[in-house]
Amino acid sequence: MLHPNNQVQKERLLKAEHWLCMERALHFTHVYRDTEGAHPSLRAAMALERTFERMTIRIEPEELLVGNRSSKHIAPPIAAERGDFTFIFEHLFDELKQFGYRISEGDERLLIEEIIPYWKGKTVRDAKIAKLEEHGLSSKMNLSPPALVQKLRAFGLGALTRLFVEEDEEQSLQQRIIGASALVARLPKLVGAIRGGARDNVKGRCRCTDTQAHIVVGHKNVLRFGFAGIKEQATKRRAGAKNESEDAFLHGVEIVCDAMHSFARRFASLAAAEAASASNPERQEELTRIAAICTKVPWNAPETFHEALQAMWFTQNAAIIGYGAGSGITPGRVDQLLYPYFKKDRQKGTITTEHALRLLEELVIKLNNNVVIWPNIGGVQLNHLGSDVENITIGGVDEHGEDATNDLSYLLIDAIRNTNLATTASFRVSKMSPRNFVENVVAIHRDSNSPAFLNDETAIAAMVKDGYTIEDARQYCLVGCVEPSGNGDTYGATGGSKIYFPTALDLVFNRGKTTFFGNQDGPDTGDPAAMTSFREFLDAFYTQMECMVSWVTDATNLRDEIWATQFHNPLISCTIDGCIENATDMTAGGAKYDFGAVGGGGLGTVVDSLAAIKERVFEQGAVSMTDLVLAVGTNFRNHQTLRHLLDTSAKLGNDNDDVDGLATELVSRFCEMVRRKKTIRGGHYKASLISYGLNVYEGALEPATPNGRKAGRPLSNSMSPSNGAERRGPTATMKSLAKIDQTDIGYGNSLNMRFPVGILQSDKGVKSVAALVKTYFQEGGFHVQFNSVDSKTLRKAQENPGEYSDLIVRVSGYSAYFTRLGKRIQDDIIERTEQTC
Amino acid sequence: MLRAPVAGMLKMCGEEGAPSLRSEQGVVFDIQRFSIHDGPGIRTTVFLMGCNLRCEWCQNPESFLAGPTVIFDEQACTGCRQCAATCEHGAVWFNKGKRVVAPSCIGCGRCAATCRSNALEKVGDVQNVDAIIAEVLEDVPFYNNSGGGMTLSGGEPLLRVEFATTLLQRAKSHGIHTCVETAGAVLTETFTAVMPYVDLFYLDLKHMDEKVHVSLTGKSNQQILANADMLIRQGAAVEFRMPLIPERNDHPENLDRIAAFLRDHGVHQLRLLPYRPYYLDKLRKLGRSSTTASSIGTPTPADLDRVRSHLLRQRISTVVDA
Ligand code: SF4
Ligand code: SF4
Repeated sequence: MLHPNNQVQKERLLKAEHWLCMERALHFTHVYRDTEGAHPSLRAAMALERTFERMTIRIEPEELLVGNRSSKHIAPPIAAERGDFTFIFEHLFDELKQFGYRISEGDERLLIEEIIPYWKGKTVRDAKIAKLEEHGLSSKMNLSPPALVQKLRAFGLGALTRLFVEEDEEQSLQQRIIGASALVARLPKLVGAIRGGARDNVKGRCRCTDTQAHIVVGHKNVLRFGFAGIKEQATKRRAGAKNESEDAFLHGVEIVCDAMHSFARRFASLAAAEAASASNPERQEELTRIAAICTKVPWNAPETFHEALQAMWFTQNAAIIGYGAGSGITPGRVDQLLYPYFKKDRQKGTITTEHALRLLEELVIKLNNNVVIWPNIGGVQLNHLGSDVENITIGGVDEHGEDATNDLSYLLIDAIRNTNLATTASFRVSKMSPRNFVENVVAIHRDSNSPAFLNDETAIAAMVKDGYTIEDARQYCLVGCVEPSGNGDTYGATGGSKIYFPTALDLVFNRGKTTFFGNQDGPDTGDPAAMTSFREFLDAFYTQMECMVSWVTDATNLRDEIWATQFHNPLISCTIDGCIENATDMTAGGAKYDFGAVGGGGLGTVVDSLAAIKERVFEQGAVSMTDLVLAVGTNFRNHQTLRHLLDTSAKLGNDNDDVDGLATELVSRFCEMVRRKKTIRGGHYKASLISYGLNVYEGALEPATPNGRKAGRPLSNSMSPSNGAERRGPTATMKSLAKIDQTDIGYGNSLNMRFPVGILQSDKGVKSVAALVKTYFQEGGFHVQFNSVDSKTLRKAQENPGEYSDLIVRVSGYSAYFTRLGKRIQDDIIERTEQTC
Repeated sequence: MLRAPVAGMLKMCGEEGAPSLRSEQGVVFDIQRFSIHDGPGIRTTVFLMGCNLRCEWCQNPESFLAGPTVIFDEQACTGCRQCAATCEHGAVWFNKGKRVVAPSCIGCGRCAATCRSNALEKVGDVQNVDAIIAEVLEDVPFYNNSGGGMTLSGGEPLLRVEFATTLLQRAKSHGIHTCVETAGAVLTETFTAVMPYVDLFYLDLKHMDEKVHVSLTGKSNQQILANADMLIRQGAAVEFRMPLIPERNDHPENLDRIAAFLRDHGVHQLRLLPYRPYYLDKLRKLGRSSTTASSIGTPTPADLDRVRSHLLRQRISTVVDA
């Protein structure tokens, strides 16, 4: 049961309007405007200092942990200097409002008259686009509006709408017509957005976002030293600064440490003032305690559990204000960081389990007050809380390799279940993890969303391969979705740069051009119809893929130069191992470990496509390459029988050695290509296979693929098989994917599985799923996550059977593929699911 | 007669036209991996075709058939006639737009593979022991971590005793835990033959009155009860199950007799399988309709409570398989 005060906080979060607050953006704008020419570390430090001094602060009546993010309850901090926000404001402001974001008149004026104009041409994005163009790396859209519309029509207009609109599959015809005409009216704007988006993208449909981020904050250092201690280290190191740049960085660190100190003291004063006027003696006491704690931490090292939690939350929150929303700033191993304090309090008898749980519940609620600004993500129903994930890591081994699951690991499970929000939590599982820990995590599905399971053995082996010491590797935390990164010792930038494997196919088919933009991006790998063996085809595919990896890493390095020379972050840097010692900001290579990331998207889509080509074209000769290229290019119009042949060929996820072998080879080649690339900071790139839940959008501009997928439809998600491809159940899928050497995929992969309906209602179900996890991990899997299928999904499956043909449901006495059941039975199952949910 | 009428083309088990099989071959209509409701742990359940009972509520009515066939979902059919074009045996044609299948259909399934609308589905596959065991072995790591194994189900998996024995024997030789889900209406010698290779039997008790049993299932219950008796006496592990069919077998008198039978054999637990009408859809695709079956109601939670507390008073505790 959620603590009543937390219940109030949860409801406030769920009911709060989503706002755009300009405070952070404005303070940064002013400071940057006034400090042009100064060292980037100093500019950033002063901007943070100004923000922390002046931003609106508040303490909610039920809070025990304090530290708000902006002037409204839900209002993501806006980092105008990055350019990603200003792009959205320039192109999609109306959509944003239409989707429910609100902005005050004053803020809107500031945004349009002051913030956007100042940053024009100066943002990371603008600089990045200029560099990409200069180096011939940008993906220009040379299409005239009519040509674009024609392309979009070939892709089905849906492809376009899905980019901007949350599709409601239950829309009536009338709603659809209204939606379509609204879309036509907005077309010129959307063309502008696509054009802008294209310039921002790297050629060959590669992506390189404006942000780097995706960092585990060095909370361990804050808890150990306090910002006072960190400042002391900086001051000491500053005495030995070898040059102006080192001096400036360390000076910046001193400034932000002091800024954190005064920021906390603002909360201490506010709490004290509220305590003085509080009528309720209980609340008065709480406020007095908050005041005392904020006076002490995070400036000094905490001594109690409450102090440690406050120090961590405060630092976490400040880090996000500093970096801006949409940055994947991660707290890390919360149970490990806090356990020593909990243990001490327990020994002294100064804390009860109930109180600790209450504090953790509050932390979990706060972690969910996090949204990404993007029209379709902060959707109409505003149900995307937590979309800018602050992933917490729970469980796993300690630095000595011993099981470190502790009381807080279990309490966090309770906190996640009690709060029942879309909390992103990663559970580390090793061979030594207690069985009931794994089962308790599985049981979270009963009333909350899906927790992620991570395999310590695979993750640690991957970290060591990439150069971590074994001790550091064992402390890994999950960043963003499921990217393993060091615990406050790494500048990893785990997200943002990505290639889509199916594009390599597109490039082969069109001899180096992409279907959508039509530019000659890649080399001409020859006429596919003239290829005589599958190997020859595959070689052409890898040639294109290797080019894509080069483009995306070149682009990322160009972007990284902008951060390294213009936009520092002394606040997060000073918490990370190595930065003070090296007197260098994390963006410029100060961290102990440094890496870059390249994600690969659409593995299932491309492997199924390659398998179909191998089988139907080269082995059976049932389809000619010429027909295939034509069919794919025309979105299978007039090629239904051919499409059926492709659709029914063998697919990834069914424990079929032939198909799985293609995946194994592709992943190992990809990881190898990526690992050879170096970041500008001295580290190397690591591969990942993650979709960030964006595979639906990723597929929007991807033409039809030889696995029978139509243009604009979603790509396969992360490392999971394509939707509907799994025909032999979860054990076969796991066996398929475990054949891939997942220790090669340094930045992780994710396997998402849909759950048979109702399976978790019984203890047997929970135990069986725990055994699935254990076995997959024993076989070498890295991550798995189960999505309990709810009635809404079942309804979608009813209307769109093709994409849900793998969905198994328990009927009576047997399990069946949901989409093959008659409507009446489907309805009955939906009803039953609603009853049990 | 409660037996549902069967479309002429379908070859029923025991009738002429069932495929001739070698002893190491069987007709499998499904191999379900990650099966968690058919015994302990994670299991692979092998469903064999063919049954000697004809329960009107059977959840797997396709198992009445002895050999592979193609079932047809008229609602999904677009009338494209691809199936007719594909069939090399001329077994499909269209009569006034209606799809007709001739007895010359051999159930090869080629038409099903080319149907783009999922209107056709091949049911049943002749497989030999090696292939089945190979598939069962795929999930050994999952069995090991969950205490699972292989389950034979059906149909009546013990109908072809040699085949069943070989399968079970082979599984045991790999150290795999085995379960058999049986209706029990086979010769006692059959049980004696498979017993050494079966770790757990699931045996269904449908009705204790012989006459009613005949009318509900087409067969007497005497052999079943005798086999149950024998298994218990021989010390085999048996879990008893009862499909709970409203107004057919859920009245107090039958419950009392089942309870008495169980108690007499020192058994105090019963698994209840509440009736669900889901198989009606399969019946439709099989080209069969059952007026009696569609008149059966689904047990309500109150029905279940009543049955469970009645049995509990008789010192029989129950588990409900949802
Ligand atoms: S191929 Fe399928 S859809 Fe076409 S007529 Fe035959 S059953 Fe109907
Ligand atoms: S199963 Fe074979 S024989 Fe029967 S209709 Fe289809 S293709 Fe013809």
